Amino acid sequence: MKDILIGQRGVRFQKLTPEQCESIHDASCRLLETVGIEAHHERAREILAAAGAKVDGTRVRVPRRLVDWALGVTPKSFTLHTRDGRPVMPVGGTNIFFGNGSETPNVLDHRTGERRQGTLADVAEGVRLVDALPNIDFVMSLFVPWELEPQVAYVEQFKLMIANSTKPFLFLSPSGDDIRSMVAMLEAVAGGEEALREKPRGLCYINVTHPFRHEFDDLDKLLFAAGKGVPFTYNPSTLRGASGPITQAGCMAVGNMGELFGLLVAQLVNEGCPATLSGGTADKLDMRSMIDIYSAPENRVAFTEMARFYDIPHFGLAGGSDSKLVDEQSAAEAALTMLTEALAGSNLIHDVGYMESGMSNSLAQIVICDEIIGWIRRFMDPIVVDEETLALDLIERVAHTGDYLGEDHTLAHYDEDWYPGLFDQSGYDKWVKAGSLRLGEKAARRVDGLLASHEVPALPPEVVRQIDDIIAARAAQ
Amino acid sequence: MSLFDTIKESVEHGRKDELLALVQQGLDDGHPAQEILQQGLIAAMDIVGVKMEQEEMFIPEVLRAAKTMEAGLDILRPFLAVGDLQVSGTVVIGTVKGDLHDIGKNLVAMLLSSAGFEVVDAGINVAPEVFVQKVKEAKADFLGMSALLTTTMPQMQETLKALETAGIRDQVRVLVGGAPVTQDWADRIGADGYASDAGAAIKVAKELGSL
Repeated sequence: MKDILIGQRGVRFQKLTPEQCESIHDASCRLLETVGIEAHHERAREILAAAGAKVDGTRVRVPRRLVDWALGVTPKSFTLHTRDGRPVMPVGGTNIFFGNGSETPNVLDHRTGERRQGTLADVAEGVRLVDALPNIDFVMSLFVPWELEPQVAYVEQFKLMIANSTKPFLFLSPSGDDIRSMVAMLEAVAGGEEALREKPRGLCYINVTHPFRHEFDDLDKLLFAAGKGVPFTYNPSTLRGASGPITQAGCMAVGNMGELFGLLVAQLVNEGCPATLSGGTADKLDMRSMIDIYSAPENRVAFTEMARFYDIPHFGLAGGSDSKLVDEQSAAEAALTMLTEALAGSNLIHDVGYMESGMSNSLAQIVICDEIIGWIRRFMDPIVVDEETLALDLIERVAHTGDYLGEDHTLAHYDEDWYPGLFDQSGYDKWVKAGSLRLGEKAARRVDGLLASHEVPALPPEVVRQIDDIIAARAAQ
Repeated sequence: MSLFDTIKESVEHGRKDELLALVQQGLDDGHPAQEILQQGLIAAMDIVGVKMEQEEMFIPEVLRAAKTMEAGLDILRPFLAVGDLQVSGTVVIGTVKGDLHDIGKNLVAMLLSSAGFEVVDAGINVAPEVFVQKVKEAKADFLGMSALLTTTMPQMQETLKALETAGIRDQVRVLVGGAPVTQDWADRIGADGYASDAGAAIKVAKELGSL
């Protein structure tokens, strides 16, 4: 796998001023102090009370100094490792990584064009494809395997992820027991609890029910992940106009508040544990259909900027489309959202390849996104200005006498340019000769090609046995 | 424009003060309360329902129209005879066990209420036996179940079984909805109706009618 470190790059898009970020932070802190959070987890409340929060029944009000303390002790970066323990993703600073999305109910079948329910076979195939793609850095579970009972669906899915990819894993489940099993599986892969703590293989994605209402499972997963030193994102889903105000600033204050609450709980449990901020996403809710819109311009960059303001790694979202099929809309939405999120400096950009507002995943769309990410990465590369690249000697020599095609300088540097693997930039005749294909058709063929050729190293039999035992124990619970 | 047309327009645009004056004027002019209700307020909400479905009206506008209609109804209520205020049916509604999401369910409850249904909100994380008990207590015509998580969808099936066991499955129409829920799922578990969004929920309930 290619290590992609986009360090110290000049391009940085900014919408919010530092003063505006400060205002949003102030608002979040005020809400934590005045309104407080309904925290349905006794141990979490005890920990918060012991630290100086005001606990009244299930309501927890948090003084600002605690929030500022938590922000201060959270690491500015952490590193995710491959299955076999190689450090590949230094998450933080200006580094940008992309990953697909998790557990959509449907698959847009690239072979038939059909929209149907996901299966275990789809999960295995999708994960293997993601493993093969050069620009997708981390893996999520893609589809809900409908043939399984919910009790084992998540752990079985996770087993397939581990078996079919060596890239860092992002994992989730509504149940804390599943998360315990999944972390145990990663410990089996890493060779024990300490080995995993030292070299995290994945990040636990925790969806929180409501910014002001943190349910038992939400906090249970958080306490567990933080205690284990498993990096996490704690994301209180905030929909503008429903669970937060319709205005962006107010909704950000609410989502950010829920997020800071989680960060505080985690740091109280295990000071200095690795964490990311996602800001609760604050998605647009379509006020006609009540659909959560993934590609909305308003969803973009704001929370990335808050994380930059705090200098804490950011877990972002882009590359998801609201289109129902792989088409012009899906490509445009993927490109716009991924470019803007990259420009703002989000560290972990997930949901690449999502379709119809998170209801479907498409392998062809993921392949198209991989291509777009290649373009974005090249665009984000700095322009080197030095003696070699200015090439004044060469220009003075060639200026009036010829061209640069046959020059050694051209030969030495031509391959620094980005050449597409999927987008067609050939001449018309060549394009016709190649079958006059549209992008979506080429993407579907690339999916088949990669699935036919890409192999993932098998796990050691001992690890497989341990994983099977963990699944059997979960099934018996 | 006739009085009723003006009433309909002011409900649709959520102009509460104007509506209250119009309803009062209607009563003063000698229109029976029942007529103002049927030809004015309810007719207005029918238009709102269609416009919502066609996505001509946005949900916040729909909710404002519903609140405006309710305010008009409050003026009429003392003048309505028993039976004038025909209830479309009683609905028990809730989010299934293990699922704590309530925004969609709350919206459907509000819209059902403004469409003339009597709504009993059972809340979130509602166990099958609690649904059964609420249906019995309310003598409900409809049971509406919501799920946002694929992991909690099977609870819909469990609730249907619990209704069977309690011997009341044939006394209530069961509607299901929520982001991952599909018509296919509704058919598979033997629900009576499926709604893809809040507007559709009201339409489906009306089409099915009470038993």
